[in-house]
Amino acid sequence: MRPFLALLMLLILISGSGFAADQEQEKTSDAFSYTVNTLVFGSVIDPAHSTQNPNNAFLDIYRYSTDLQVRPDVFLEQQYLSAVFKPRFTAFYRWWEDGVTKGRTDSADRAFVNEWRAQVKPHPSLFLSFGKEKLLWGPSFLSSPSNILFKDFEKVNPKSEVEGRYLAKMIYMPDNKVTFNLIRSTQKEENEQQNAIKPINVLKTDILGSNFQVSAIGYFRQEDRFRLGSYGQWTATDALVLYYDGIITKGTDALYPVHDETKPLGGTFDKRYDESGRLFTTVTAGGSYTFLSGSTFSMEFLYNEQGYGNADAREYYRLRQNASDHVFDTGLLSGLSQKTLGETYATGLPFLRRYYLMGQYQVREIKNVLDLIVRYTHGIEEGAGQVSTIAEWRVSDRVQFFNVNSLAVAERRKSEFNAIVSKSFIAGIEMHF
Amino acid sequence: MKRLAYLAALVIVLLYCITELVYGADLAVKELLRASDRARGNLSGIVWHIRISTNEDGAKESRGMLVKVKGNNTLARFTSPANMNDRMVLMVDRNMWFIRSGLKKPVSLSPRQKLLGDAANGDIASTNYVEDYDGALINEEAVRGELCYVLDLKAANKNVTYDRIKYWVSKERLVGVKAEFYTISGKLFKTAEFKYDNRVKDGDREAFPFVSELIIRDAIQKDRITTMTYSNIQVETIPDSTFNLNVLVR
Repeated sequence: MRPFLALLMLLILISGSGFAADQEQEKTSDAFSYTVNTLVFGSVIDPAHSTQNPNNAFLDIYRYSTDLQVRPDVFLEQQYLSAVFKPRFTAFYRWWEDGVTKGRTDSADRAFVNEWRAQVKPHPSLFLSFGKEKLLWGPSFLSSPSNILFKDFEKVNPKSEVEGRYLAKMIYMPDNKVTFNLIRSTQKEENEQQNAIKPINVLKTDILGSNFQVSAIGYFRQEDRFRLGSYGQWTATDALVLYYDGIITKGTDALYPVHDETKPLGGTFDKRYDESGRLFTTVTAGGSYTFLSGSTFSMEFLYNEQGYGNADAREYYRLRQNASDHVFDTGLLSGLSQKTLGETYATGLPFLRRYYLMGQYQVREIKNVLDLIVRYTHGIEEGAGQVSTIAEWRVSDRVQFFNVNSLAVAERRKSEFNAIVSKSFIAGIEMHF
Repeated sequence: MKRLAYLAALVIVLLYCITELVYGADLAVKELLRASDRARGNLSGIVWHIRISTNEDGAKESRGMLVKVKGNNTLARFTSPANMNDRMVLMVDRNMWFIRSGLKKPVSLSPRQKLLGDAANGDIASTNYVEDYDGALINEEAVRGELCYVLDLKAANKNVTYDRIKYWVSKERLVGVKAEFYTISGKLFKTAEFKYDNRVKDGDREAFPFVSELIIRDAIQKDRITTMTYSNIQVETIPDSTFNLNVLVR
C-alpha cells in the first residue's frame, strides 16, 4: 500500500498546482503539460448462469467491486522531441456472491506504467519513436478487425484502459495526402507451446482525400499467415459519415469443434484452417447520421466469415455442455473439461458467429452537461444481443459522474451474449486535475 | 443580307454584355467572399483562442479552445474546463475526428455534430465560403447602420455544414457582419452576427480586421444564444504534421 500513499501525496501536490495553474490554461504553447484523472467507481456484475462458467467455478467472476484509479498523463512537446508518460495507480476491493467462491473477498493495489513513448523528429516529415503504447485505429464502434495488435478497443467501456505494448515506429509523411507507418511490435510473445514467437512487423499506409480516408495495413511475421487489413471513412455529406473496417487472412488460428464419440467429452477442438490456403474476411461496414438536433444514429453490419455456421455452433454448445457437466468430476475428466472450457472461452474468433448488426444512438451535450450513448448489438443467427448504455454527466468543471451498463438480451441459454455476464452496472465519479 | 449582318452583330454584342455582367458580378461576389473569408481565418497559418459560451434555460456553460488553422485544416484543442482538456477535434478538409488522450481510438465525426449550444463542430473551422458556396448578390441593406451587400449562398457541394446562407457583407470593410443559416427544406434554423475588433498582420501586408465575436441565435428558441469569442490571434507557420492523425494521438 506504500506506493499508493506516496502517490496520493504526489497527487495532492499536483492537484494544488493544477488549481493554481488553472488561470494559465489557455497559453498558446507549453512544452510540458499534464492531466491527472482520478476515477472512483463501483461495479455490480451478474455472472451468467451458463455452461461456459458452471457455478462460477471457471471464470470466478466477482459480484461487487469498488475501484480507485489514478491516471496521470504527462506530455513533453518540443520541436525535435516529444515524450509521453502515463503511470497508473489502481486499487480495488471485491466481493464474490456467486457459485463456489461465494463469500470470498479480495483487495489489491498496483502501480505500473500503462504507456510511455519517446519520439524524435529528425525531419518535419519523419517521426521515429519507441515505447509502450496503445495503437488503436478505425472508425467502427462494433469491432476493429484490421487491428490485430489490439483486440480490445475501449469502445464497450470507455472508462477501461487497454495496456500498451512495446512498439517501435517510423512515421513518414511524403506529403499531406499520404502517410506511411512502419511498426515493429517488440513485445515478447509466446505461442501455445510456450515458445517465443518472432516479432510482428506492420506497414500501415494512410491516404487522405478531401472528404475520405483509406488505410491499408499489411502484417509481416516469419512463418506466419498472410494478413491484410483496411479501413476507411467517407464524409458523404455534412451529416453523414460512411465507413468500413476489415481484414483478409489466409487460414485462421481459430478453434473449431470436431465431433468424435471416441473422446471422453464426445469431441475435441481443432485448428481446422490453420494450414489452409482459404482466405477469410472479417469486415464491418456502416454509417453515422447526425440530425439537426445534434444527435447521431449509427448502424453497422459485421460479417465474420471464420465464425461458426449452424452445424459448428451446435457442436460447440454440445461440447461446452459436456465439459460443464464433468468439470466437477475428479481425475482426468475434470482436467479435460477445464481445458475444453478454456477452448470454448477463447476460440480465437473475434465473434462466435457470422452475421451481426449494431445500432447506436448518441446524444451529446444534453443541457450542455450530459452525453448519452445507447447501443444494441444483435447476433442475427442466434437471435440474441446485448444492450449497453454509457452516460457522462459533468457536474462541475472538474467532476463528472459516469455510468456504464450492459444487459444480455437472449431468450435462449445458448448464446454468446449470456455466456459470461448477463448484466453489469458501473457507476462512478471522474475527477480532473 | 446587310440587315441580317447588323442583327447578328447586335446579338453578339448583347451576348458579350450579358456575359460580362453575369461573369463580372460572379467575380465580384467571389472577391467579396474571399475578403470576408480572410477575416474569418482562411489563411495559410493562424493560431487563436476561442471561448464558446452558451446560455440555455438560464444555465451558463463555456469551453475554451486553442485552435490552429492552415487552409482547410483545423486542430482545436480544448483548454477548459479541466474535465475536457484531454480532448481535441481535428478537421482535415471535410474529414473530422474527435480525439481524447485517455481514449486512444479517434472517433469519426460529421461537421454537423454539436460542439456546445448551437455551435457545430464545423463552426470552429475557418470559413471557406468562396469555394464551398455559389453566391449571388441579391440586395443591399444596412445592418446596425452599416451598408452591406446581401449575398445568397447556395452549397456548391454536399459536404458543407449549411445548405444555404444569407450573408451580409459590409460594403466598406468587406467582412461578413450577419448570416442566416437555412436547412435544405429552406427553413431558417439559426442566425449569426459577427464582430471584428481584432486586427491581424499577415507578412508585410497591412493589418486587416479579424473576427472577434460570433453570436449564434437559435431560430426557434430565440433566447438561446451561443457566443464564440476569438482572442490571442497569431499568424505563424504551422507544420503539416500538426494535422496528421498518426502523430496527433498521444
